[in-house]
Amino acid sequence: MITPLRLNFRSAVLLAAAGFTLASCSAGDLGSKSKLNSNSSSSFSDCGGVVCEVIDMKTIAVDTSENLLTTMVHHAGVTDPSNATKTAYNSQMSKLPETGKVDQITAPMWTAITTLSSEVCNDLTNQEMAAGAQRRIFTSVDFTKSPTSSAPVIDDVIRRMARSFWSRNETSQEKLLIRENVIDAFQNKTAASETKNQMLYLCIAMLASLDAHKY
Amino acid sequence: MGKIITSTKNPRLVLHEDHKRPASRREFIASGLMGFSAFMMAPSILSILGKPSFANALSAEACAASSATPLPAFVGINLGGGASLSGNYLPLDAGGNLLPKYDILGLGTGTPTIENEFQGVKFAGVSNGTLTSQFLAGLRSTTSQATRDKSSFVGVCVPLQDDTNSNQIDPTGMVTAAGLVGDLLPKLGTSNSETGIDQKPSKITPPAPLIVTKLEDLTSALSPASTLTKQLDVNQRRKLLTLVSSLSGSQARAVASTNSSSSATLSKLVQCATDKNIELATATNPGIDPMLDSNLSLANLWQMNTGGNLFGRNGNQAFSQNQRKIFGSMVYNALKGNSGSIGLELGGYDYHGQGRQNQDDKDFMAGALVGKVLESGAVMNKKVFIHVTSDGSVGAPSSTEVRVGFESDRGSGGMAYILAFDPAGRPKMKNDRAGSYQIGNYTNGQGASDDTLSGSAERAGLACFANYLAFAGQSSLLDKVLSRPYTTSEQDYVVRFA
Repeated sequence: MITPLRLNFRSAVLLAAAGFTLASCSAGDLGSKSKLNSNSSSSFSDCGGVVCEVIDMKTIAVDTSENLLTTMVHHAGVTDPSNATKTAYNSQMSKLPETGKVDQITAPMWTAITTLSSEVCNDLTNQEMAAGAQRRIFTSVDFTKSPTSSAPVIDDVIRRMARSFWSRNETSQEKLLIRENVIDAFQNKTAASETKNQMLYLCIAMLASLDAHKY
Repeated sequence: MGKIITSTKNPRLVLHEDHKRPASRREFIASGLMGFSAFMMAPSILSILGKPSFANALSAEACAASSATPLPAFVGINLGGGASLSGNYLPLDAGGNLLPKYDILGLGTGTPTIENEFQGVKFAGVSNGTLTSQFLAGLRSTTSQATRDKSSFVGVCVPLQDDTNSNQIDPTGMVTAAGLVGDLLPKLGTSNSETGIDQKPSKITPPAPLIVTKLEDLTSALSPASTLTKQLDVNQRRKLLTLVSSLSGSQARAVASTNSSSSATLSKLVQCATDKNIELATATNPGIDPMLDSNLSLANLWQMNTGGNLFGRNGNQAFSQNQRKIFGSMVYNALKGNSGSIGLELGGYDYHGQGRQNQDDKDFMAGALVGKVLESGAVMNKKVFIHVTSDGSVGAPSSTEVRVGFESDRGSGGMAYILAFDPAGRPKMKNDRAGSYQIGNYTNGQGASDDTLSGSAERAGLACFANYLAFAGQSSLLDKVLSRPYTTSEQDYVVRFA
């Protein structure tokens, strides 16, 4: 059980850590409704370079419904979210959870996460396809060939996405599950244009799964 | 060894003067700050686990947990502008007796005539051949006697601020925390505010509502749209969402492997939510449009397929077809358990100075709407709880005449109503005092006393919530959602449902 005092102290770290997170994705700033609400009256005192005191820390509220897109964009490394993504975010916001306000994990919430993931992943695939040799996720994918040609590189894409989205490597079971599902979903798709959809599919599956939203 | 520094507020935290300021994850772990890193980015999910309402809202037994939650539909109806609720229902004094006169409430200086409804609740009665309480007239126009016989009423005396959305009377945050969570849709509202109506929350801020301005707002809320539907065909979508469900399920089970009951529940919730997501993404009729229901009784009740304006007094101030569709669909989803609480905003009640005729038309309209909600419960065989509020009220110039027009704002004469319908029979009420169907009281000055357990908007909202739980047979949740808000005797006074 977390005591209130300990929670408050931890909140100070939230401020620092989340502040870093927001700063680190400022290239993809959404204009930016993402925010941390803080009424903290004090923080770490700096006594000659060491942390020495915590005074009257108060609760810091994080508006998670607003943080979610920032987190997704940060995971995916999308530098410039499209208007479609911003629109999807605005339309889905009421179904997203708010810290301390919504005590539920529901189907509508996951529908919203899935919808939002699809837009962020669409931005990611577009960004990566335009990046040429500078790709970060789809480094080995040839978007000019059919989805079957991607089969040998799917494991590499899964690994890169797992590290980006889940902050860990995928398990062997997860890799098998994803690979088989993706190949099955595109087994009859032969057009080269379907390779983008295949990568989109892979991205949504991983970005909309629990571990992309649980730390 | 350097000097050890401890926080005066948290002695368990030990920091060393000769160590550098923690910066990396490992250093945060070493300094005792690490635990927080697990909560840093996603309190939305994990913060749930520590909340008492979490356990109340969901049972880990089945995915249909929320629909199995024995909490009835909650419908908030706000009459925006300051309606004369105290000129319809006759507020009583602290002893449960009629006031010496009700002239400022538009009922003349003499003893008012009385019209009883809901087993002895007193409304402004007939004068010169017309029922003075046009709210009651409207309610009767849209309900059967059988439905009224299965309904109960509570009057809540509360002074309110006029013409503002800042009265903290909306209890839906507490209602949500108690576990009224929709299976498919979130809390719904028609006004773009944090509560979905033009009122502020009492005690607990509710989750942001889905604002409904047309039926499509509901239907589109359930379908993953845009890129997902444009780029992937329906079979791929089904497979994709199955994959999301499988991945999330195994990831949740990994959390659950800690053997914590909360994490086991998390696992179940995630599985339920993602499984339902598959259903929603591929279903042609997810069951939220009453006009697509095989049983059209509710759509017919609200006359959704009929053009024109209906349910008004003599055809005045009636509901448009679009308004009937919106309100009817929201009520339908609340009753089915598809959504959480719903808030219906009905404007035009800043009607002082507009003449009694217009004021009566509006009061009739409010009653008609409340009646439609009660009757919806009847046709769908579901319990429903209604909270009628306004922002302030109105006052009339003193007169011997009854049904004098209201000329000014008068929030001191504020009032809220609670109505509850149970298809099994009239919800049982306490009969422990004179005027036992009332919370709080009016003074001889014809205003609501502020020295009662409903003497402020926030307290009135809490009183509503306590009665909602009692109606649901879930009073034990009160102390779980809020930390003992009442003493035993206070709770006994406030809760009117037996």
